[in-house]
Amino acid sequence: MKAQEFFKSKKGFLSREKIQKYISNSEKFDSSIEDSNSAETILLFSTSKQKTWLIVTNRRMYCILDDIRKNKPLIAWSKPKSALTKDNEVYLDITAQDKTDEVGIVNIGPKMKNWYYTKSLFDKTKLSASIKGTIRKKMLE
Amino acid sequence: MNEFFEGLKSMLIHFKLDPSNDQAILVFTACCAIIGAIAVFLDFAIYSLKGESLLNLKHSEKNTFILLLLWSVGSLIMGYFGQLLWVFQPSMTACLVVGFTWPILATKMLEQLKNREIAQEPEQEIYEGEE
Repeated sequence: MKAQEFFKSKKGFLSREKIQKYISNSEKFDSSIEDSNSAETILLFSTSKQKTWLIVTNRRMYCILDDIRKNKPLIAWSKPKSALTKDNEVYLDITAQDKTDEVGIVNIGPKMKNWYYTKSLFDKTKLSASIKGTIRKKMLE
Repeated sequence: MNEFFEGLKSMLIHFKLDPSNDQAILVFTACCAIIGAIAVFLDFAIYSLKGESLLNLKHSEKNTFILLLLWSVGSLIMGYFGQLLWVFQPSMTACLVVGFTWPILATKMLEQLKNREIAQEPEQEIYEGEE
Protein backbone atom coordinates (compact mmCIF):
# COMPACT_ATOMS: atom_id res chain seq x y z
CA MET A 1 0.00 0.00 0.00
CA LYS A 2 1.39 3.41 -0.92
CA ALA A 3 2.00 5.89 1.90
CA GLN A 4 -0.50 8.38 0.55
CA GLU A 5 -3.18 5.71 0.35
CA PHE A 6 -2.57 4.81 3.98
CA PHE A 7 -3.19 8.37 5.08
CA LYS A 8 -6.01 9.08 2.65
CA SER A 9 -9.40 9.46 4.27
CA LYS A 10 -12.66 8.19 2.76
CA LYS A 11 -12.57 8.74 -1.01
CA GLY A 12 -14.81 11.38 -2.55
CA PHE A 13 -16.91 10.87 -5.63
CA LEU A 14 -15.24 10.61 -9.00
CA SER A 15 -15.96 13.51 -11.32
CA ARG A 16 -18.15 13.04 -14.37
CA GLU A 17 -15.05 12.98 -16.56
CA LYS A 18 -13.34 10.32 -14.47
CA ILE A 19 -16.47 8.19 -14.38
CA GLN A 20 -16.63 8.48 -18.16
CA LYS A 21 -13.10 7.15 -18.45
CA TYR A 22 -13.68 4.51 -15.80
CA ILE A 23 -15.58 2.33 -18.26
CA SER A 24 -12.23 1.40 -19.76
CA ASN A 25 -11.78 -0.76 -16.65
CA SER A 26 -14.63 -2.97 -17.82
CA GLU A 27 -13.63 -6.32 -19.33
CA LYS A 28 -16.28 -5.72 -21.96
CA PHE A 29 -14.82 -2.38 -23.02
CA ASP A 30 -13.24 -2.60 -26.44
CA SER A 31 -10.86 0.29 -26.99
CA SER A 32 -10.55 -0.56 -30.69
CA ILE A 33 -14.18 0.36 -31.34
CA GLU A 34 -15.20 2.41 -28.29
CA ASP A 35 -14.00 5.79 -27.13
CA SER A 36 -14.62 6.61 -23.46
CA ASN A 37 -13.79 10.28 -24.03
CA SER A 38 -16.80 10.75 -26.27
CA ALA A 39 -19.23 8.73 -24.15
CA GLU A 40 -22.41 10.31 -22.82
CA THR A 41 -23.01 10.21 -19.08
CA ILE A 42 -26.28 10.35 -17.21
CA LEU A 43 -26.32 10.88 -13.45
CA LEU A 44 -29.23 8.71 -12.39
CA PHE A 45 -29.06 8.70 -8.59
CA SER A 46 -27.25 10.95 -6.13
CA THR A 47 -27.01 10.98 -2.34
CA SER A 48 -24.26 11.99 0.04
CA LYS A 49 -22.84 8.44 -0.13
CA GLN A 50 -23.72 7.05 -3.55
CA LYS A 51 -24.02 8.06 -7.17
CA THR A 52 -25.27 5.90 -10.01
CA TRP A 53 -24.17 6.74 -13.53
CA LEU A 54 -25.23 5.47 -16.93
CA ILE A 55 -22.50 5.81 -19.52
CA VAL A 56 -23.32 5.27 -23.17
CA THR A 57 -20.75 4.75 -25.89
CA ASN A 58 -21.40 3.89 -29.50
CA ARG A 59 -21.27 0.20 -28.57
CA ARG A 60 -22.37 -0.32 -24.97
CA MET A 61 -24.25 1.15 -22.09
CA TYR A 62 -22.59 0.86 -18.70
CA CYS A 63 -23.97 1.34 -15.23
CA ILE A 64 -21.50 2.46 -12.58
CA LEU A 65 -22.25 2.75 -8.88
CA ASP A 66 -19.85 5.14 -7.15
CA ASP A 67 -19.97 4.65 -3.38
CA ILE A 68 -17.64 6.87 -1.34
CA ARG A 69 -17.33 4.18 1.31
CA LYS A 70 -15.75 1.82 -1.17
CA ASN A 71 -12.23 2.01 -2.57
CA LYS A 72 -13.39 2.26 -6.15
CA PRO A 73 -16.58 2.51 -8.19
CA LEU A 74 -18.38 -0.63 -9.24
CA ILE A 75 -19.27 -1.37 -12.84
CA ALA A 76 -22.62 -2.91 -12.02
CA TRP A 77 -23.59 -4.00 -15.52
CA SER A 78 -23.14 -3.24 -19.17
CA LYS A 79 -25.23 -4.09 -22.20
CA PRO A 80 -24.20 -4.20 -25.85
CA LYS A 81 -25.87 -2.23 -28.57
CA SER A 82 -27.53 -5.41 -29.85
CA ALA A 83 -29.45 -5.75 -26.56
CA LEU A 84 -30.59 -2.14 -26.61
CA THR A 85 -31.50 -1.46 -30.24
CA LYS A 86 -33.36 -3.25 -33.02
CA ASP A 87 -34.07 -2.20 -36.59
CA ASN A 88 -32.39 1.12 -36.01
CA GLU A 89 -34.63 1.95 -33.06
CA VAL A 90 -34.03 1.90 -29.32
CA TYR A 91 -35.69 -1.33 -28.29
CA LEU A 92 -35.69 -1.15 -24.51
CA ASP A 93 -38.52 -1.12 -22.05
CA ILE A 94 -37.83 1.49 -19.37
CA THR A 95 -40.34 1.93 -16.56
CA ALA A 96 -40.19 4.20 -13.56
CA GLN A 97 -42.18 4.20 -10.35
CA ASP A 98 -42.23 6.13 -7.12
CA LYS A 99 -40.51 4.94 -3.99
CA THR A 100 -40.21 7.97 -1.69
CA ASP A 101 -40.65 11.72 -2.08
CA GLU A 102 -37.03 12.03 -3.21
CA VAL A 103 -36.36 8.72 -4.92
CA GLY A 104 -37.96 6.49 -7.55
CA ILE A 105 -37.19 3.08 -9.01
CA VAL A 106 -36.33 2.56 -12.65
CA ASN A 107 -36.28 -0.77 -14.47
CA ILE A 108 -34.14 -0.75 -17.59
CA GLY A 109 -34.97 -3.69 -19.77
CA PRO A 110 -35.86 -7.16 -18.49
CA LYS A 111 -32.83 -7.67 -16.27
CA MET A 112 -31.62 -4.32 -14.93
CA LYS A 113 -34.26 -3.83 -12.32
CA ASN A 114 -34.75 -1.85 -9.14
CA TRP A 115 -32.26 0.90 -9.75
CA TYR A 116 -32.91 4.05 -7.81
CA TYR A 117 -33.14 7.40 -9.50
CA THR A 118 -33.22 10.82 -7.84
CA LYS A 119 -36.43 12.65 -8.60
CA SER A 120 -34.80 16.06 -8.49
CA LEU A 121 -32.65 14.96 -11.44
CA PHE A 122 -35.48 13.53 -13.52
CA ASP A 123 -39.17 13.85 -13.95
CA LYS A 124 -40.66 10.34 -13.90
CA THR A 125 -42.35 10.92 -17.23
CA LYS A 126 -39.14 12.09 -18.90
CA LEU A 127 -36.67 9.59 -17.48
CA SER A 128 -37.31 6.92 -20.10
CA ALA A 129 -37.11 9.46 -22.92
CA SER A 130 -33.87 10.83 -21.54
CA ILE A 131 -32.16 7.43 -21.41
CA LYS A 132 -33.52 6.33 -24.77
CA GLY A 133 -32.56 9.67 -26.31
CA THR A 134 -28.98 9.24 -25.16
CA ILE A 135 -28.82 5.70 -26.50
CA ARG A 136 -30.24 6.86 -29.82
CA LYS A 137 -27.79 9.74 -30.02
CA LYS A 138 -24.72 7.64 -29.30
CA MET A 139 -25.57 4.35 -30.97
CA LEU A 140 -27.85 5.14 -33.89
CA GLU A 141 -27.00 8.60 -35.14
CA MET B 1 -48.07 36.34 31.12
CA ASN B 2 -48.35 35.49 34.80
CA GLU B 3 -47.42 31.91 34.10
CA PHE B 4 -44.32 33.07 32.27
CA PHE B 5 -43.09 35.20 35.17
CA GLU B 6 -44.02 32.54 37.67
CA GLY B 7 -42.05 30.01 35.68
CA LEU B 8 -39.10 32.38 35.36
CA LYS B 9 -39.10 33.02 39.10
CA SER B 10 -39.33 29.31 39.82
CA MET B 11 -36.44 28.58 37.47
CA LEU B 12 -34.09 31.34 38.61
CA ILE B 13 -34.76 31.13 42.33
CA HIS B 14 -35.80 27.54 42.95
CA PHE B 15 -33.94 26.01 39.99
CA LYS B 16 -36.95 24.10 38.83
CA LEU B 17 -39.59 24.40 36.18
CA ASP B 18 -43.04 22.90 36.41
CA PRO B 19 -43.49 20.86 33.20
CA SER B 20 -47.20 21.59 33.31
CA ASN B 21 -46.44 25.30 32.88
CA ASP B 22 -47.81 26.27 29.46
CA GLN B 23 -45.00 28.75 29.01
CA ALA B 24 -42.25 26.22 29.85
CA ILE B 25 -40.56 26.57 26.47
CA LEU B 26 -40.54 30.37 26.64
CA VAL B 27 -39.34 30.31 30.24
CA PHE B 28 -36.48 28.01 29.32
CA THR B 29 -35.38 30.08 26.33
CA ALA B 30 -35.60 33.28 28.39
CA CYS B 31 -33.48 31.68 31.12
CA CYS B 32 -30.93 30.66 28.50
CA ALA B 33 -30.72 34.29 27.39
CA ILE B 34 -30.34 35.49 30.99
CA ILE B 35 -27.61 32.94 31.71
CA GLY B 36 -25.95 33.91 28.43
CA ALA B 37 -25.85 37.55 29.57
CA ILE B 38 -24.45 36.48 32.95
CA ALA B 39 -21.82 34.40 31.13
CA VAL B 40 -20.62 37.41 29.15
CA PHE B 41 -20.63 39.60 32.24
CA LEU B 42 -18.59 37.02 34.14
CA ASP B 43 -16.24 36.70 31.21
CA PHE B 44 -15.80 40.47 31.13
CA ALA B 45 -14.99 40.42 34.84
CA ILE B 46 -12.36 37.71 34.30
CA TYR B 47 -10.99 39.61 31.31
CA SER B 48 -10.74 42.81 33.35
CA LEU B 49 -9.03 41.05 36.25
CA LYS B 50 -6.82 38.58 34.43
CA GLY B 51 -6.56 39.87 30.87
CA GLU B 52 -8.01 36.76 29.24
CA SER B 53 -11.45 35.85 27.99
CA LEU B 54 -12.62 32.30 28.67
CA LEU B 55 -15.28 32.64 25.99
CA ASN B 56 -12.73 33.91 23.47
CA LEU B 57 -14.46 37.26 23.20
CA LYS B 58 -12.75 40.55 22.39
CA HIS B 59 -13.92 42.76 25.21
CA SER B 60 -13.67 46.52 25.12
CA GLU B 61 -15.72 49.48 26.23
CA LYS B 62 -17.60 49.48 22.96
CA ASN B 63 -17.75 45.78 22.32
CA THR B 64 -18.81 44.19 25.57
CA PHE B 65 -22.35 45.52 25.55
CA ILE B 66 -22.85 44.38 21.95
CA LEU B 67 -21.28 41.02 22.80
CA LEU B 68 -23.64 40.70 25.74
CA LEU B 69 -26.64 41.30 23.49
CA LEU B 70 -25.43 38.99 20.76
CA TRP B 71 -24.44 36.21 23.12
CA SER B 72 -27.80 36.42 24.95
CA VAL B 73 -29.74 36.30 21.69
CA GLY B 74 -27.61 33.38 20.55
CA SER B 75 -28.33 31.55 23.81
CA LEU B 76 -32.03 32.25 23.44
CA ILE B 77 -32.16 30.90 19.89
CA MET B 78 -30.08 27.83 20.71
CA GLY B 79 -32.22 27.15 23.78
CA TYR B 80 -35.30 27.22 21.58
CA PHE B 81 -33.84 25.01 18.86
CA GLY B 82 -32.40 22.66 21.45
CA GLN B 83 -35.89 21.95 22.72
CA LEU B 84 -37.22 21.66 19.19
CA LEU B 85 -34.63 19.01 18.41
CA TRP B 86 -35.08 17.31 21.81
CA VAL B 87 -31.45 17.94 22.69
CA PHE B 88 -32.24 19.03 26.25
CA GLN B 89 -34.98 18.92 28.78
CA PRO B 90 -35.90 22.32 30.25
CA SER B 91 -33.79 22.61 33.39
CA MET B 92 -31.44 25.07 35.02
CA THR B 93 -28.47 22.83 34.20
CA ALA B 94 -29.41 22.90 30.54
CA CYS B 95 -29.71 26.70 30.74
CA LEU B 96 -26.19 26.89 32.12
CA VAL B 97 -24.86 24.65 29.36
CA VAL B 98 -26.60 26.66 26.65
CA GLY B 99 -25.76 30.01 28.20
CA PHE B 100 -22.04 29.30 28.43
CA THR B 101 -21.40 27.03 25.44
CA TRP B 102 -24.02 27.74 22.78
CA PRO B 103 -21.55 28.30 19.88
CA ILE B 104 -20.22 24.77 20.39
CA LEU B 105 -23.75 23.44 20.71
CA ALA B 106 -24.74 25.12 17.46
CA THR B 107 -22.02 23.26 15.57
CA LYS B 108 -22.99 19.96 17.19
CA MET B 109 -26.68 20.47 16.46
CA LEU B 110 -26.07 21.23 12.81
CA GLU B 111 -23.91 18.13 12.60
CA GLN B 112 -26.67 16.10 14.25
CA LEU B 113 -29.24 17.43 11.79
CA LYS B 114 -27.00 16.62 8.86
CA ASN B 115 -26.33 13.10 10.17
CA ARG B 116 -30.03 12.50 10.65
CA GLU B 117 -30.70 13.54 7.09
CA ILE B 118 -27.91 11.34 5.80
CA ALA B 119 -29.14 8.37 7.85
CA GLN B 120 -32.54 8.65 6.16
CA GLU B 121 -31.11 8.57 2.65
CA PRO B 122 -32.02 5.50 0.57
CA GLU B 123 -29.20 3.16 -0.39
CA GLN B 124 -28.78 1.44 -3.70
CA GLU B 125 -28.09 -2.25 -3.23
CA ILE B 126 -24.61 -3.01 -4.35
CA TYR B 127 -24.31 -6.02 -6.54
CA GLU B 128 -21.16 -7.97 -7.22
CA GLY B 129 -20.70 -6.35 -10.60
CA GLU B 130 -21.05 -7.49 -14.15
CA GLU B 131 -17.70 -9.08 -14.40
